[in-house]
Amino acid sequence: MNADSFKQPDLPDGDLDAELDLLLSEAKWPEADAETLMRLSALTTTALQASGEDLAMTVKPLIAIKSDRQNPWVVIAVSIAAIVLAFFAGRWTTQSDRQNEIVAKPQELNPSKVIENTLLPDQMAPSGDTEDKKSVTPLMGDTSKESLANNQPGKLTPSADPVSAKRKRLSQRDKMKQQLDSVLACLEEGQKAETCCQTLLPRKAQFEYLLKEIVRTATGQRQTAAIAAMGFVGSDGTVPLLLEIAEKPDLRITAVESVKRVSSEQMLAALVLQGGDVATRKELLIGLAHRKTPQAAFIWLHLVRTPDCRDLCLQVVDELSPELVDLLFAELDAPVIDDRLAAIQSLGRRVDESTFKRTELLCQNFPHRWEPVAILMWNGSETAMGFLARLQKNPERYAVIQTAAIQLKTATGAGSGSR
Amino acid sequence: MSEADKDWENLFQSQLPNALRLAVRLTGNVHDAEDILQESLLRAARSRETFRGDCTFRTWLNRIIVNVFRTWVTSKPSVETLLEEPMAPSDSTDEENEQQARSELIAQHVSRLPERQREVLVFVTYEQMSPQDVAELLGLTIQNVYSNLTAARQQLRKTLGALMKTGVDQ
Repeated sequence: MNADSFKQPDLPDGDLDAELDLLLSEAKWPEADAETLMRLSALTTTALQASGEDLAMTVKPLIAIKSDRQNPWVVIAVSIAAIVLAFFAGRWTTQSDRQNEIVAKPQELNPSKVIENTLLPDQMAPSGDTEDKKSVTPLMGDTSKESLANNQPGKLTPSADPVSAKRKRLSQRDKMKQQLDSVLACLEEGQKAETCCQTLLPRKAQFEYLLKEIVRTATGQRQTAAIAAMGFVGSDGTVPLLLEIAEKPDLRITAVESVKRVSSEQMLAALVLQGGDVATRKELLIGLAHRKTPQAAFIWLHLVRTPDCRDLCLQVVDELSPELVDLLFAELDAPVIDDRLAAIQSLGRRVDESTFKRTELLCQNFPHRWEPVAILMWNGSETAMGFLARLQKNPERYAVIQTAAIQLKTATGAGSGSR
Repeated sequence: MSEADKDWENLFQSQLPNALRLAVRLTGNVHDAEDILQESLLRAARSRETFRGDCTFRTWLNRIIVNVFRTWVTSKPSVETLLEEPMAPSDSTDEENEQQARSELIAQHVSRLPERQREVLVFVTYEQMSPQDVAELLGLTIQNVYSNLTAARQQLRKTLGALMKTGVDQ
């Protein structure tokens, strides 16, 4: 801050206040970049040009493009909304499927038809044929699936020999079912999903659909195997079903494992923030901790900063993947101080020797940085405190240690992490 | 654009940097400050005709900023009022880094003071306004300004005590 913009107040205080004034004159706030000023300047011009009711309409688009910085709360809120939507969509699909099994009008919503069409596009002819067929086929005379399908305007129609095409499609589906059965048998034998499920990968979406049916209807080992396979080929959309299954105690572990695998980082964070069973939340956090992406690190820091999740996060920090640990060390340089503090708390709670050694090295190589000191302070172990005690003997380190203590106190209300 | 509109624009543009600096000091970070200033500028533009010149334009705009800031404080979760964007570390020497961390820390503590204390301290100490002017701007009595100022300074003495001691030691 410039000295000329600081004014000592007209309060008759003692020496201590002169010192406080000196300290306050040192305060330095973040400075806005030129882009921010330009945005505000443009907003001002537009706001002044517009008038009356038009003002809000004219200016809102400008506000919308104000900042490209992502608000983590918005991301989480959108994720939660997506989960709820997916859950209801899942329920609706289930009900539709069940209805289709009972009612004899399965053509439009029959999922197998959808899959077959997806699988065998080469056996389909363009919709132009439909018009020709219409002209020679009595509409009400044929109620076969093919005829009904042909009468849907704009839909793809089977080739000239619908019976053989259907046979081929069915056999294709049967092949998939056989393939799935062998995978499930492999899983039931106790082999790893990575080994058994490789063959499912080229057609993940189709197998995901078939697996959903098995997860819903099968029992015993077959159901468990299907849940495990789901974790390998499933997508975010299977999470509601898996969470429903996870409520059954005997299937919980497998189902939660699958949720951990299929969920995106945002989805995992949203599920953790949703609350509920502590054990499940902890498992989901472990799932996030095993990820290796910068996005995972970003979300991890956000969760550590969230009071409801902080303790749970700190309980599983030893599960952090080496890649995430590297990213957290990099976050010690983050421009946002809360990110730095979250990284410090995460790293400080790890008990492995390599993290400790690395922090010690940072303390030695960067004697004026308070962040590594704060990690050791937050760690609070005997070794860490011994190292800090040795450090404190050096008068040059006193200010750094004090800064670290104040930052930790400000962030957490405590000087060191009590285990 | 008419001549009058151009004059208004010049007036607003000339105050933008000051207004942004004030908003940053009040909120503690650029992101929230920008939000507040946007809303303030919209309000000010809408009601520019109500500016009758009985105070300076800067004071008038500052009053709007304070009003928007107060609304923002009540609507924002307390956990989010923590600082989000202190300065990024630069390619400076270690001593400079240490000094920068210290300066950031002091600013953080100022921006974390209770709302009214923060307003008074920022206006008196950093915006160089007299307690009388601050009282008028914030709609407080002069005694109230002094008591808030004293409370703010006492709070800072407490929270920055270690740094003050450090300063003495150094």
